Amino acid sequence: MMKRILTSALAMLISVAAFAQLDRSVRPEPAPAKNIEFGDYDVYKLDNGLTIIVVENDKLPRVSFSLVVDRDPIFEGDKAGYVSLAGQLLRQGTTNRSKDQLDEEIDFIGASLFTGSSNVYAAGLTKYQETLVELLADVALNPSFPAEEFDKLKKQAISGIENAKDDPNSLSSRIFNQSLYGKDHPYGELQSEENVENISLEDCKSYYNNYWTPSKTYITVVGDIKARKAKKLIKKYFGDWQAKEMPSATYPAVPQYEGTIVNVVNRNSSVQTVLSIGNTIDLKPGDPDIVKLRVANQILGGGSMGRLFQNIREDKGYTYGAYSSYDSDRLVGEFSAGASVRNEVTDSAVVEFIKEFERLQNEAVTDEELQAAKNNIIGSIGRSLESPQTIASYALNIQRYNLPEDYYSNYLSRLDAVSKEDVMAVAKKYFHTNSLVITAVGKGAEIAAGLEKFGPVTYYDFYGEETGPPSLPVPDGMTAQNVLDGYITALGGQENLNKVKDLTITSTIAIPGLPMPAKGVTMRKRPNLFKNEMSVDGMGVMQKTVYTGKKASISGMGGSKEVTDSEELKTYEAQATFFAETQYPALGYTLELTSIGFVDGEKAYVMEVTSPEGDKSTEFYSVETGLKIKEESSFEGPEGPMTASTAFADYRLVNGVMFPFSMTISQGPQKIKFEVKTVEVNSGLKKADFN
Amino acid sequence: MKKKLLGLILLLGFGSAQAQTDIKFEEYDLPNGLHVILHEDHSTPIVAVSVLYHVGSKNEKEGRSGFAHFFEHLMFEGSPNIERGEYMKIVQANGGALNANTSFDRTYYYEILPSNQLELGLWLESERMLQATVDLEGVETQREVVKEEKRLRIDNQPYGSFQAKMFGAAFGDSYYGIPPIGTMEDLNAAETADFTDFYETFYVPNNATLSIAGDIDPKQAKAWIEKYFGGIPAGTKEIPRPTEEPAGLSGEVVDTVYDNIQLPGIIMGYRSPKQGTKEAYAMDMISTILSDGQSSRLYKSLVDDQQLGLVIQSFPFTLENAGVFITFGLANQGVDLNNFIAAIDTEIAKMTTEMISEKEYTKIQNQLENDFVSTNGSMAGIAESLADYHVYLGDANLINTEIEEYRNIDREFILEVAKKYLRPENRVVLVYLPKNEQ
Repeated sequence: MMKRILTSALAMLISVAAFAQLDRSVRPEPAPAKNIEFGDYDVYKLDNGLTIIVVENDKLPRVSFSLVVDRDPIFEGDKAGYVSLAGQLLRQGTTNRSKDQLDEEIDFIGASLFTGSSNVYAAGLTKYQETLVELLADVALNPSFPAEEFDKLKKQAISGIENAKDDPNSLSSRIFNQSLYGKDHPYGELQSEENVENISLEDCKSYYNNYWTPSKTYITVVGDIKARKAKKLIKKYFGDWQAKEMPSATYPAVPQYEGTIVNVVNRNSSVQTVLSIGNTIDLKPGDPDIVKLRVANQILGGGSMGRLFQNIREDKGYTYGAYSSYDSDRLVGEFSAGASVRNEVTDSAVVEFIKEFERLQNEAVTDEELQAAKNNIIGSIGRSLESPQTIASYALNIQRYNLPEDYYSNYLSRLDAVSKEDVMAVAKKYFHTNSLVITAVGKGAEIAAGLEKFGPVTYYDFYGEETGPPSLPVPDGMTAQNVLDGYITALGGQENLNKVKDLTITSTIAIPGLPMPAKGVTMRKRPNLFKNEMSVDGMGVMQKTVYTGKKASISGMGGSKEVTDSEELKTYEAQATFFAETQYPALGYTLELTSIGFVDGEKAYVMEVTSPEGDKSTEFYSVETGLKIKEESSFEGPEGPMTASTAFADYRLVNGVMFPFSMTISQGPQKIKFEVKTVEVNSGLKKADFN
Repeated sequence: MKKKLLGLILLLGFGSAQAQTDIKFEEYDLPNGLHVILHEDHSTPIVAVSVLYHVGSKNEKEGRSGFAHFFEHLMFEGSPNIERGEYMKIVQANGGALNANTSFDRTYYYEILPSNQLELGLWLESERMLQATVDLEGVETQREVVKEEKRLRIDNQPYGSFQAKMFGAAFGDSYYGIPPIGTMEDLNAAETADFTDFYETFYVPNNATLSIAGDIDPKQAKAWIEKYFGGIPAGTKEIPRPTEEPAGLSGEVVDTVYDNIQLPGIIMGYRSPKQGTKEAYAMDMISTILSDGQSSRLYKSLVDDQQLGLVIQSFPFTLENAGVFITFGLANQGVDLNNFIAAIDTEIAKMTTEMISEKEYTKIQNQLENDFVSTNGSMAGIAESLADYHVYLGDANLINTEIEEYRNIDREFILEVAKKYLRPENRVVLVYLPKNEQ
């Protein structure tokens, strides 16, 4: 017993001693770096033009065959989806095997086999290598395009579209791509259920017949197989495949935006906004800028060391991750950044993104950052080379894009040469900070207003169609009366309203088509005297309305009339009532609070108002201030129903009561703007002033 | 003649050779209880350094769900020698990658570094084990980050609530009843005192496994391990480690969830045996039969033949002390969910009444062999598997031999296990319907 205590005490002493010797504040230095070996591969070309790339690696007893047809992107139009459907169909049966047979044979050897519109991938254990090649060839060369499977796939495609409708990331990429590339571009077109319905089996067949040719096909083989064996097997099963001419296409230019635009996709259930920010770039594979942009992107948002992550996640805690990326492409490339952030910080997050883009454009990165980014890239290349598939994809790129043989083996020295100036230059060239596309998928009601400062906001649905701003349900317990009470309070309180005995409001009125502004004067006196006059300098009074409780007279350039009909007079009575809204229930109006909507991004209670006469209008009361910010009514115009609306803004306090100093009446495309110059309260108007 | 002969030999070889893996490793314990596993492989100049702490959400106190995972986030905040926010930067600026994850049963940290940076990796992990900094600023920032992670992965995803509902129903108020992400309420409730206590209890060498795989010189590696980890004192607190299996279901649980989704879906979970048991291996095989590949029974019947579903997948979710055998399916547009469920039930009932065919048995053995061979393709994967096998099953060498466990299971046993577990009284059924059908 004693001894045991002693040994453990001793052990403790020893470990404490060892610990004491170690200066933990000294960060270990690396051992000499090892060279990164890129590894070898073999390339063969068959007589029919088929290219074979083999990367031998016998670490694990498995092998993969990846066939790629190098074709131009296809714009599918009203049959969007037929190309990918054709790809799926390849797996649905061949002239030698039914789908059931294919399924059974693939699974029986524990293999996997996938098909796409321009590729087939087969992988499994090396001991089944010939079976794998034979299956690959059967699927790629002898598809039977069974009609029954075609119908099944269409059904699945439609379900797939349904399923994507509530997925915030699908919504985001659809709308983002549509804006970046345009609806008429293969990269920007969106698929709908209707498109799928339009696809015929013949479309799929002719796609396959037109595009699948050995002269543009590459098969990369990776794994535990000898290169010559691989070539022999492929020659055996693909050697007789006949070459043909492949169609090529031209593409519309991608949209160029004058300024930054904002797309909002409303998803009421969202607790986070999926943000995507970016622009198209002209950057083709092999471009010398690529390595520079890789460094710039690494510093900006290439990982958890990136500025975006450090700022938006680690400093602000807005998100789980914020990243950026770029893409080189033979047609058109892309720079983009994004994050999922909680609703209330959506606009703040966008500010930080743009700030980081601009910082990289305007300030040189530090030596330390530059070196760290390069080390990070070298490290990731080193790690990726653990997989023989990486060598294979490098080899394929060299072949496909006609890159120099030493493109990858020289990559590290080109990386080393990237300077701080290069980083700044590519940031300036490829980050279009003044004409970005910003897409936000989230709770429109909570995020839209904050996004307006970046550019015009357009709302889209899943199909890429524009929608109006979203509306929200009215919170439980909120009533029309609550809204009116809030309005009274916001105006200054009932007591202050009651103190207003008469009122004169003078404004200038900008009317489109009129060379000079008109002058407007509105006068009211309790209980119900009302006068409205509009005049233009040099032209005199253009329109005048007077209501005295018993009659209304309207006069203008075209003459004058008197209204005495009691029914018709009621509308004038309403106009003459002081702060009529505050008395709606007493005046016999019926009110219905329908939803929360938006007026130029501002949240507002939407109230349907029906006068005792049955005239309907819609009024909007700001959720934030309680003030009325808009009213809308529709009427029969000469060409069908029209909507007229009045927007109220710039409320200012006069004698304890808030008055809107700006009013805009819109009717169709026409807008009349009232700018209030003076509001005089209780100036002692006489009855005689109303004539 | 020679050529022909060779062909014959090849032909004989076809189908008979069974793929074997031979991953060599050594393992030992430091006096402070840290378990060390080393695997040497020089094919790429990289090394994976990992530490597995045997603590997960099942070790959390009541009212502190999500704590183990929250804590994982804090473990990147630094130490007296690593400034706040520097931990990730140091790794990446030196060409490495890093991450961590938290499950019901464990928390796992790893770096994949250029192999000349092994010492750096050991220093970093030893700082985390010895003296991680947990300050208020870090706690508050990471609390928000973790809440965003929950929103991203769960609250903002269609069908995202299934985890909380499934585990809640399958494991009741036991330690497996709340998924590792926890609840917003509990995340908000975590206090500084909780962190100190958690760190001192669980982040100790005697609760950790250091697993290293890659381009290493084992002698040098051991010297560095001693240098950085040897002086870390063993923990003195008792490590609470629940081992009793949570109580079983007292009957079928059916719940309907109205969610923001378009396609109705179904998630079934049968309570199943804990990992590493013969029965659990049999459940893996049942899952392979049901949904691995397009010839699998559920796929063939529901997706191909009857065209009822878009997706159907079963997977055995095994944990240290229990398991749930989950089947997840999305019905096709316009399909009555009841027909969909009935079709799943038919296939599952078949598993419990008929023995699988010889041919199916051979097929799943081939599929499992292919999966088994493919898992050991990376150093990071090897380091993780070695640590997992050691911690959960007490035998790191299962990385080479686990395939034998499957080979030793026969068709009769598969039927027996199916009968035992795939019973309606032993399951939770979550029905997901679009909100507009409510």
